[in-house]
Amino acid sequence: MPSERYFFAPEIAAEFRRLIGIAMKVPDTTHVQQSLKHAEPVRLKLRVNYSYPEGVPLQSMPSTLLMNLPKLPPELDYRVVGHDLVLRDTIGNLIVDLIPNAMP
Amino acid sequence: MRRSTFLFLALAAAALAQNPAPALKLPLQPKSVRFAVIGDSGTGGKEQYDAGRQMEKFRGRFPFDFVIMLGDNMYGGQSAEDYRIKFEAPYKPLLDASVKFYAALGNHDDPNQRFYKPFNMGGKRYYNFKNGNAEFFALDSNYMDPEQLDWLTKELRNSKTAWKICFFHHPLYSHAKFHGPDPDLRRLLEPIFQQSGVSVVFAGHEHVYERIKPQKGINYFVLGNSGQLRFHDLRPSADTAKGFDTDRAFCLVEIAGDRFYFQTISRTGETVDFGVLERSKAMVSSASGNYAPSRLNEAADIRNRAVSGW
Repeated sequence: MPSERYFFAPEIAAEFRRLIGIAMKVPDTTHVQQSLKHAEPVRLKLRVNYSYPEGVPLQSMPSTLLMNLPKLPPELDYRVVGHDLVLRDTIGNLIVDLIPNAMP
Repeated sequence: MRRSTFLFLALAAAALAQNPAPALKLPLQPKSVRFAVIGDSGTGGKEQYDAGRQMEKFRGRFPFDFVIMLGDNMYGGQSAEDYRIKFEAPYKPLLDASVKFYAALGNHDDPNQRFYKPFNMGGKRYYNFKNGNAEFFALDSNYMDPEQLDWLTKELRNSKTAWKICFFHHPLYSHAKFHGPDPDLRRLLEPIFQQSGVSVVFAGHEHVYERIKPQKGINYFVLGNSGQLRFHDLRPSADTAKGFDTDRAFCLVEIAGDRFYFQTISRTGETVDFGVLERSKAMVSSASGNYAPSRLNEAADIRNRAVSGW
């Protein structure tokens, strides 16, 4: 676990957890859960500033979740890995930061 | 007839019976749009190569111009050598014949595949292109963010083509037991498809072939077994029009005017499904953006006369 948060400072991480909570509470929450299950969930121990492992599929992001998270510049994306929310550099395939256990 | 001539003809007939010419079910009409569809292809395994050879064989009788790829174009490593083994070699005869490939991204694909020129993605995760009276929309279903939804809504609204065809990786409908459909994606995409007159949707992800009976007027195909296969994974339901889960497959399509002819072929050259979808007159109105909201369901209706022959 990194000792220094580059993006998800504690107060930012708390806000993200709140937003994820809202997305998971919409009437179609079962749809979000189902989508997560159907998206070939991966279990990995990721580290900030390390690459996302080559050859391991990227789990697709439920659209409802993406609708509730802040917009990112095109070179970054959100990914769910296990229960973590990961911020990834799409060009360099680098883990920029993550929120452990962000997903309920 | 001399005995030797008779013997030669008998042997030739026997050889033909063992390895018959591909049985084409498509009408080959002049100026039609002709393409092939593959999904979950990039294994680099023998079966992918077999299916590639069968595509080339059929192209001898049905000269298609391009291939759409439904994602998982590359499993495992994605080095230059992987691109060679899992894409360039199995489809070499097609690439040599200048057949263009248009890829959508799957969950096993490195998103940087969009910069690989033979995939014709123009560096974009999602994009569209036209061919004849059809327009194709390749979507990134791994990451359906608001920007992509806005883009899709706008492009579909502005499209004036008769046939609007979307292709992406995760199926909105499927009766395969391993994954099943993606209900969250369906909730967002289906209303857009309905309101903008999308006629046909292709997806992969499930390693089977399944044609779904029209849902809210839209025809859904799942084709995720061009390289991968999940043997006997299909649990057909009342909504399954046709399924095939015992070998690899690809699909050939011909669009001629208001008719969409399709033929799905196994790795061994067996036709596993074929038919024609016909755009109704109301659908023509929908495509030109003139439909009335009260006729939405009718507008999206496509009479499906598949399989029983035409």
